[in-house]
Amino acid sequence: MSEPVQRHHVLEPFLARTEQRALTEYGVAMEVLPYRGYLNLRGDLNDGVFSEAVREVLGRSLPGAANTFTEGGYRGFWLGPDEWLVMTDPGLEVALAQRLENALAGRTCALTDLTGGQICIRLRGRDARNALATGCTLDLDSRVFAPGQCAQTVLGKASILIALSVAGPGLAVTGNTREGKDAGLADGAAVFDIIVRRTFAEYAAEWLYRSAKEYGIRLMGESPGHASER
Amino acid sequence: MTRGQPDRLAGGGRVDRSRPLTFSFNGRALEGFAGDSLASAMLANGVRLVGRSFKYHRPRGIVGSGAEEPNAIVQVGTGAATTPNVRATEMELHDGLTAFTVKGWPSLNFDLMAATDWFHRLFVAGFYYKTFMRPRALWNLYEHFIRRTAGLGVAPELPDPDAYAHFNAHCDVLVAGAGPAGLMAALAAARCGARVIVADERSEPGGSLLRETSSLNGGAAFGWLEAVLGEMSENPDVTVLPRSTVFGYYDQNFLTIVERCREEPVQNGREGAANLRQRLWRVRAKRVVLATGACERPLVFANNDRPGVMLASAVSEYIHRYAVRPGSRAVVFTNNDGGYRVALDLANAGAEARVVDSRIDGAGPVTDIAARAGIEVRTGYAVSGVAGRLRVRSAEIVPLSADGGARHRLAERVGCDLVAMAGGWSPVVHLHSQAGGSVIWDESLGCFVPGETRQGNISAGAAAGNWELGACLEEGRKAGLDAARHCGYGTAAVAVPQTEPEISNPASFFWRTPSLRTPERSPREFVDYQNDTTLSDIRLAVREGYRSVEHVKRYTALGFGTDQGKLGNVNGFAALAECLDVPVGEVGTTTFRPAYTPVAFGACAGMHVGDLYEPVRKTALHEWHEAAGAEFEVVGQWLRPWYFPAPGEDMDAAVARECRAARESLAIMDASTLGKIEVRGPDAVTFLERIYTHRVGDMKVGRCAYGIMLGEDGMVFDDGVTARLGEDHYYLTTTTGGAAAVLDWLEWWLQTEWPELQVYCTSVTDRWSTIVLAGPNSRKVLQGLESDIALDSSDFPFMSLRSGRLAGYPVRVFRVSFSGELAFEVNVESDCAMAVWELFMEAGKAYGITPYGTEAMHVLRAEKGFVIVGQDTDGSVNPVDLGMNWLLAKDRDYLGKRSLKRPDSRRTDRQQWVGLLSEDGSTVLPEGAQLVEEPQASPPVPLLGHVTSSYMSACLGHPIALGLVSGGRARRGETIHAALRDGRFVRVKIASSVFYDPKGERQRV
Repeated sequence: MSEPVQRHHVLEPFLARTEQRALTEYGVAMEVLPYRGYLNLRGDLNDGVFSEAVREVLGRSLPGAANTFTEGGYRGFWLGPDEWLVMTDPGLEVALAQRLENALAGRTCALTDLTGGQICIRLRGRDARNALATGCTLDLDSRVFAPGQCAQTVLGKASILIALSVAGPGLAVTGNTREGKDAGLADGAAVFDIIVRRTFAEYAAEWLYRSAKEYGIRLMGESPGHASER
Repeated sequence: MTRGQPDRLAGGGRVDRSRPLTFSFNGRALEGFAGDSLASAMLANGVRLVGRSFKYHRPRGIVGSGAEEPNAIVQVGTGAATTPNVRATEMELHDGLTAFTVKGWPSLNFDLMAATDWFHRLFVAGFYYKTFMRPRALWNLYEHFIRRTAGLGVAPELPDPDAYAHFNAHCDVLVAGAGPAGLMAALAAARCGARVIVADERSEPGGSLLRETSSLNGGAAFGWLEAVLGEMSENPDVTVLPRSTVFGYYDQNFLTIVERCREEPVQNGREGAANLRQRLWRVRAKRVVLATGACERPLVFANNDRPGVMLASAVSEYIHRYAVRPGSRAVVFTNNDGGYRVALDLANAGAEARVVDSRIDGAGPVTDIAARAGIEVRTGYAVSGVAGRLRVRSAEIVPLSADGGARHRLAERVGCDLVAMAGGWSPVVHLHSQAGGSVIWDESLGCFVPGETRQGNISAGAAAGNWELGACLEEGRKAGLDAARHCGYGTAAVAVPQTEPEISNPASFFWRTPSLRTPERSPREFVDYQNDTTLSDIRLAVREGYRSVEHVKRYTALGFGTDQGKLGNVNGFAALAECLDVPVGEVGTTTFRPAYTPVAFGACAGMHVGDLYEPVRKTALHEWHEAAGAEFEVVGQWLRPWYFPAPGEDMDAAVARECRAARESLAIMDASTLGKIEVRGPDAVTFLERIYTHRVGDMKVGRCAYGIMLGEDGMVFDDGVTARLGEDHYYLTTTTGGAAAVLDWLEWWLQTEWPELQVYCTSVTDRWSTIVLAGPNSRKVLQGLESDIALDSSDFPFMSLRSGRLAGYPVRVFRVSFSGELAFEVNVESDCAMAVWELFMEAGKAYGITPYGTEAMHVLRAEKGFVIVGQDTDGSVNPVDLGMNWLLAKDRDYLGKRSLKRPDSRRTDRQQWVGLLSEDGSTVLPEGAQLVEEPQASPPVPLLGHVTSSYMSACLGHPIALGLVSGGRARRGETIHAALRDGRFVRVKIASSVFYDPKGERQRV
């Protein structure tokens, strides 16, 4: 019997030093997501065996359309014509990777577990787009960048993957309070997930936090803190 | 009149008299109102002398009211927040503002340097260049003098306390300028549904409506303005940016805007993006409407730079917008009907006004209106000069003859304290030209107008040479609808407000009053105020052989400086055309370049300063290292522990202790910064055998090998460990600094040259943290932890890897060694690295486990003669130079192989990598020290090479060094010399590059 596995979130020091005033008026809500599983998958969707096996294991197909992602169970982000990032709930990545390896045995593909190397920062609120515009050169207006879209881009000098979804029961975000509605967090509001490499996470978090100060920023969610599992 | 503000009008204007503000100019406390510009507040206080000119230190006053201002360039604030090059006309007044002139010594009123004015014939065009030439030796003397007397301000010497940010914006239609045409364009495009940004450099939108008395829809123009702005503020797709100058227009309709968010000094220091001073907008627009308006032209006559000589439009703006009367006895010198309206404005403000119209026929109906207001009008007259030094006292007016000459014998002198120049208008074509558009001379309008466009832009209103208000509004409307249509939107109903009919006589392109004497002999007639360029300078340039407008610009400085010729250029071009006897259009214009007005470096840098200047990458163990008191070293973007000093210990002692621990018992290092790449696919072996020089395919699953990559030139590009995780699955490590370049290199070959290879490369640098346990006791630590990995040498030999669990953590353990000792590199998921490191620290206590940093790592590897790519190599070192022939596969090709066969690669005198020992046994050679055969030889002394790495080896008890020496390997045992920093030389013996455990037995146990 082993001791429990201890995890340390890379943004603990950032959260510890960042003032977390309980602002009631703010334009940006920022949440550092706790540990998630990340699998990088390379392969050819035109290979029927590959795409079918992946669909079987994940419960749905990987997106074939450029710069889109699928949700429900796992999130599958399109990174390139033959590359996806699969985001899982904590702890599921090892078993999922094993099932994918088994299902894909013999196919030309590559599965790489990147868990621990990626971090997700969630940005919401009526001024979330403005905060992102300080460092992200993409047009994130809703008529150009719609829910369900994702893109690999930059934030300042860090590479990021940004994805837009919509607040609602499907996403574990809260925003239907009066205060949340004022800040632009209610159901139907935009939720930006920013996935960044571990060693650029602190830079990205600082960048976003300072960009958002102009609009008032509130740190939300549980501190990812230490997690342990058996 | 307001007490203390003698030239403030009792009523009118857009200043808020209930909000007085105090400010100071050159230490003198003054008062203005909210809504003032610094310039208007200075004028209200009767300040006329605001600066000294660039070259001659002539007294100068405010000329304009906006970005074109050439003279009122002040230094604002003191200390860290001081800002040079501020145009007083654009600086909004705020409480406590302190402004200083940037010239004038010992005082502005009495400037000793004005002596240059008496000797102006020495300081003609090109004098600066001439000082370089003859006599050459004197330049050093001149330079000191010139640098002190020139310049337009002082750069702050302290870090900027203000915060700046960028904003990446995207829109359908960007409108530059919020005057009548720009606002109509924005309104029209917005009504069509387009995303619109409209930016204006002034503190409030309105453009010419702010300075004129025009009525719209039968009411005050301000009413219409408010209605339009109200509608746009309610439209979420419209962004109105006042105080925002569109200063650059680049390819693909990319434009930059600097927004002045706040003028007051910072209160709370650099607080991220909160409380920004300036914001730089980076806009990508589908269409651009340039409604940048027009700039009024000065007129050229003798002493036309005296304080009190102003642009007529500026006079109107000071009266209407700021309720300031810049003079009480005015001469309006005009070549168009606009001057009459300015004279009327002056008369209405209680000033005595007189119109001097250069046109023989005079003006249209406005003449009668002027006459009814008691304004004296002289048609066919010109101002030939003014008198007064610190302020205009009188003007000399002369009748013009039909042939264009001036009848100086009939000159009259009229007393005045203000000369308003209405010299016609120059469309602001800067952005159009920056976008690649052509600029053409319109003879009938007497100005340069936008020609063809190269990008998705259109000019509208005065920027397109349209002077009439109703026509500007209509043109703006059309431009807005047109832009929206180009972006795929339908049309919308937009009404143009009713304007008063305007009937005017055509303007004449009259730009200078013919002088009595030749320009060389007459008082100075300025073409460019800011650069002190006179008519005679341009004539001199032509006499000295310059013909191209670009050459004349550079020789005379016409159009240089912060105003970039906004006022002076067209008159300068006209002067050149006159000298060359060609039409102005043939002379053309100089090139318009960004920035339109000066932009602070802070705005360009944005948030890319301080700790956000560059991402700082930290390992998962960084907090542990910090707590342990580590000193850090910057390696690329990474911070790595350099050494871990114990209390009271210096670097040498700490490194010696860390090295001994690794050699004698147990040391632990964070090697997480190594680049890590997984390569997977059926063609992985084929691919890697082309990339690496060694036999990757012969390696069995579970084994590792050291490998190097060569560039196509055959030089060593990166090195690291290659491990075989599965039949078609490899794991590579790269140098810390080379990780990104190596992945790019792999992808480049795969994507562009060998797309047929079925291989995928994925970076796992951030996924895995690497903890090195080095030393004879390292195995014992691992054996003390629960693991499914067999650790005995027979089960887990040197240069192999095992995957499994260690104390419950999934790990990949590599038995490789960069220290030459028994060592295990434990790769663990980064989130868990801290926990595993702490387990090792606990388990290693019994063996005196010692953390070591990059310096000890360097010493340990140097004792073993292990190369560091980038330190011991510099891109000109091939594997043979390094003695790595054993790594070069003979039976197959790989990148760089062919280059190793070049004659130069096979020279026997190439610099080869060898060990170096100082013969005195104590001198640690400086890294980079040059190596020579015989220091006493007469120069030039041939260089044999240089020292690449050098350390004190605590384990060996003497210094060791590595270096590149010409033909070095064949010279083992010979003595050469190394140059020290103090000029001495030491004797150095060439040795083997391996100093410690040459058989490599310690790492194999």
